[in-house]
Amino acid sequence: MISQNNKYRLHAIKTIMERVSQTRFWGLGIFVTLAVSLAFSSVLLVNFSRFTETNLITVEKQPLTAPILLSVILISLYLSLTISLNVSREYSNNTIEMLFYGPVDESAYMLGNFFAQLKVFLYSLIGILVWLNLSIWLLNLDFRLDIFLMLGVSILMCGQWVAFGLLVASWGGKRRNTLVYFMLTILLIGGIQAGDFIAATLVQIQSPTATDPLVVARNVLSGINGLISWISPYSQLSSAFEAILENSTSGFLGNLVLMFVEMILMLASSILLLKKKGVRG
Amino acid sequence: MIARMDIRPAWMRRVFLLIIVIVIMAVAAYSVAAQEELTFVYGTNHFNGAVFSSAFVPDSVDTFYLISDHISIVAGRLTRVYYWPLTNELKPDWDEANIVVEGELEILENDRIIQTIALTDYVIQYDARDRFGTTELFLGDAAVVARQNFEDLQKQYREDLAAYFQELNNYRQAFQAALAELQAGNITEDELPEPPEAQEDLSLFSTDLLMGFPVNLPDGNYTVQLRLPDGSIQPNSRKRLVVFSPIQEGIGYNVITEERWTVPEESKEANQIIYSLSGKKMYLEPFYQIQFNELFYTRLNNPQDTQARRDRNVWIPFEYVKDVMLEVNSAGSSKQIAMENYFVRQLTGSALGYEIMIHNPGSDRDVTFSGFAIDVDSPEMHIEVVDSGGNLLQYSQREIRVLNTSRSIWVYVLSGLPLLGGVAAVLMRRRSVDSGNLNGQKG
Amino acid sequence: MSMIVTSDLTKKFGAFKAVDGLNLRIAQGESYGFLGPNGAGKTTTLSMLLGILTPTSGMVFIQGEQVRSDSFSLKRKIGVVAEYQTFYENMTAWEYVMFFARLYQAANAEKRAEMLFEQVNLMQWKDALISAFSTGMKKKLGFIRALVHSPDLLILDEPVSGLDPFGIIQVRSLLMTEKARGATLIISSHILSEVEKTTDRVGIISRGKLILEDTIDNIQRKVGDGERILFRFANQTPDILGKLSSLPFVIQVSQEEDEISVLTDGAKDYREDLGRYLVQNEWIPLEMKKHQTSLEEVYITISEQSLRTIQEDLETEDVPSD
Repeated sequence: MISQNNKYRLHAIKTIMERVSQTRFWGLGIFVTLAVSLAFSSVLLVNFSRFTETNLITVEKQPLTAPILLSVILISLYLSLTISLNVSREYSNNTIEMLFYGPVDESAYMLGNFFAQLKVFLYSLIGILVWLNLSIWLLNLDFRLDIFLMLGVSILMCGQWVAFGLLVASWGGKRRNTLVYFMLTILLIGGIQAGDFIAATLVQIQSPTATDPLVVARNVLSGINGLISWISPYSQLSSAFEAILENSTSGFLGNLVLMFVEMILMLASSILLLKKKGVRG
Repeated sequence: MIARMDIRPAWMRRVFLLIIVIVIMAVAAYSVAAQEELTFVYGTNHFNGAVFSSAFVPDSVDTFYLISDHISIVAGRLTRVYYWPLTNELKPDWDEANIVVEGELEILENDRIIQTIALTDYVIQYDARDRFGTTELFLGDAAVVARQNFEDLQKQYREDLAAYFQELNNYRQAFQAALAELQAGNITEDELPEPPEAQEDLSLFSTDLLMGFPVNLPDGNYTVQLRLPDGSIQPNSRKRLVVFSPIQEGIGYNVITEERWTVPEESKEANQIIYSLSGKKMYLEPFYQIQFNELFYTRLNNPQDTQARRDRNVWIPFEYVKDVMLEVNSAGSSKQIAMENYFVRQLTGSALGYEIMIHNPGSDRDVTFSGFAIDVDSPEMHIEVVDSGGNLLQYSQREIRVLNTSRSIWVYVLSGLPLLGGVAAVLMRRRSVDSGNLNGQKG
Repeated sequence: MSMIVTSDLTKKFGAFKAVDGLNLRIAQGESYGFLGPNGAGKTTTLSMLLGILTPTSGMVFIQGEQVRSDSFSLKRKIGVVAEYQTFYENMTAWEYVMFFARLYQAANAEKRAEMLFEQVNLMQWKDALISAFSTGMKKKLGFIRALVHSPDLLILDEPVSGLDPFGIIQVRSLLMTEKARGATLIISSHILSEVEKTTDRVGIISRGKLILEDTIDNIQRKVGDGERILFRFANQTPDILGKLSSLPFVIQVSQEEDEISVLTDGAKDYREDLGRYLVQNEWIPLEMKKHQTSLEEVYITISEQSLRTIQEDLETEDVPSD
């Protein structure tokens, strides 16, 4: 039984969601992102085609896996960044306070924005699905229902990214801070992964002794990278895709649960952080 | 602003703290690894689904793995352990020290001893020409006999080889002399001496006569410990043992094309699709394979592995399939293709490449591979292997599709479609807002 | 029944007390003016009324229900016009108002919005982007947003700042309509004449404390130091100031050009007594009127008094104890 207060909250979430998602389609941003992500995915698909031309044979479970992965990640990144900037702009401009004068609280506001981005993502998935089906028809690829599962599970990954965007926005507050925090987090993760790769390569090339600081650095970076890989939405999504292709129900559900829990944790943290900081910028 | 400045250093402090903890842990792990004294470790010579492999179980690893219902050897050893930075693993220096620890291996289940295994001699042998089909483990007296037989064979081989070289030497001398006679016109070419028959290589491989505990257990989680002759438990010998079974068996294929036969593709999964080009010919070489959990299987071979995952499986090929037919279904028609032996001939000169030919049984050439030839002449084909009785071999179904590579450029064009949608959406929005302004001015 | 009750409402920012033990009681349908100098704690109080800020101690009740940030049912009944309003500039005015109407689940929203747009003369711009609006237009749009759901409680922070005189009249008319509808109004403003015109009762806050709260008439009486009566005579004689000064209830007599000002002790309305005295002395009054102390004068007086008290308090605190 939903309490009257929660009914009002749900209504607020729905109303905010509709407004935010509607404004996404007033600009070119989402359309350009979708086109760019599909263009990158096209590169992967064409590469697959060219490889088959050269190799004469390719054995693949689902050649659309990488294109799907790339496109949903790019769109999720865009949605994460835009919601982050959107919320911080509301914070800076004080429009958030106008909302909070009315029947809106922190959870309704955050969830409204969260679901708005998911709604936009769902529309984008329709675009991706159309492109996938036309590509299947063009190249004579095998049409399989697993692409629906992949697109379905990518909603959770997008949810994680959007929740991350909201968390960064409630952490950063002002627009500039939010942008800096967002970029720094991405750069830090990318930097650790690149550092791990470089250190591992150097260890292979130089064959250092066990006492070499390079080995210690490689081990440290590898440890952190392992942790990042474990919590990274990208890793979880690609693992979920793998599980789909391997028909591994436990692997699929395991990743699903992990993604869901991580998404909920980030969402809850963003709400609590906003509650703690207040809506007055 | 003040509050924000308070938060940042706290956050950074936590990150630095985390980094320091990780560095300390890494250094600690490394320092533990750099041991100088002899350490108790386990070594395994385990059945890996096809043949026997070996694995090293250092002190730092608390669990090792074996395949169920097959004898594998577990041995307790004292050795020196060193850290190998390239793989970030510990390695045994068997050359430096390899001391067998005598005693009995106790197998426990739920803290109750269910088996006690005595230290036993063992030998593993196989024919290097067909390792899959010939690997054998000998235990106890049979191991002693097998090793002795191998040594006898080796001795015989060396003697035969010496005799062959002697014969070869004699032949060369006789040949030189006959050649002079031939040049002098005293003999004809037919009278030249024949070379001795070449000595066949000894393809049998054998391990030394080793000592270990033969373990053969059903699926389950166990604990092992080594009880020393004085009744005490060898320190650090208590470890968890996971015994696991294969998940299923199936058929895999090596997929070969004439033009690139040196780089065949493998198709191990039934849901893999073999994409090719229209008009090409491909050869499928089927093999039996067995599926294991990835984590268990990887740790069977390397208990120190940290990359393998519990939610994935691996297929392990163990034998080539013989005496079967391939059923091909395409465009509503069905046909059966017989398995043939093929020989691959290298082409020289301007036609540099390979030619795959049906092997002539009378030829002195070896068979390169046995498989099925398929002409890729339909956009979509379904294949499966049936035995001589017409029964489908489990997990042998595959799909072959012809890729329309000429149309691949169109996927780029398709990716631009959202831009059209975007322009339409923006124009609609502008029109609705602008008309509002116009209405306002009218009003 | 009380619309708003605050009980020892206190808000601290670190060591600074922005609101200090505030006790308010505003009746349903009342129009309440909330006055105070900059930094007095007005906006902080209003924010606590709206659940935007959580009180450090004390409580806020609206219609008997304690206010929190998630008091959805309460907040649906409140309309707010903030001093500095911000808008979604990429929306049209109509989209913006309809968004808030949906948020508040306003009944007959379109009809009501149309009426409000007409009332503030924005109907012709309803489909224009808000980014193209002037400050005054935005202020009016803020009013439409605040009123579209016919709130029971209307909280207005500097409601007429940024409006031109014509806009002020439109907005005042809106407020009067709302008051007539039975809505409770809380108006915080620096334009005191506006408060004077639209409120029944005012509260004056300084340094977070409510230093005075009453009806406007009572405050004028309390703060005005008596009553001032102004005369103009047709036949003024030189001794008139001295004679008037000698009257027992007269405190002070002064003259500016042809206007004589008599300050009485304010115990009662002395116009009748003064009238008889003038007739006795055969002075012919051309005009006699009672001067009301304006809210501005009251506010300045109160503020000065408050400032003096605060300074005295500070000085006392500065004196080292023996």
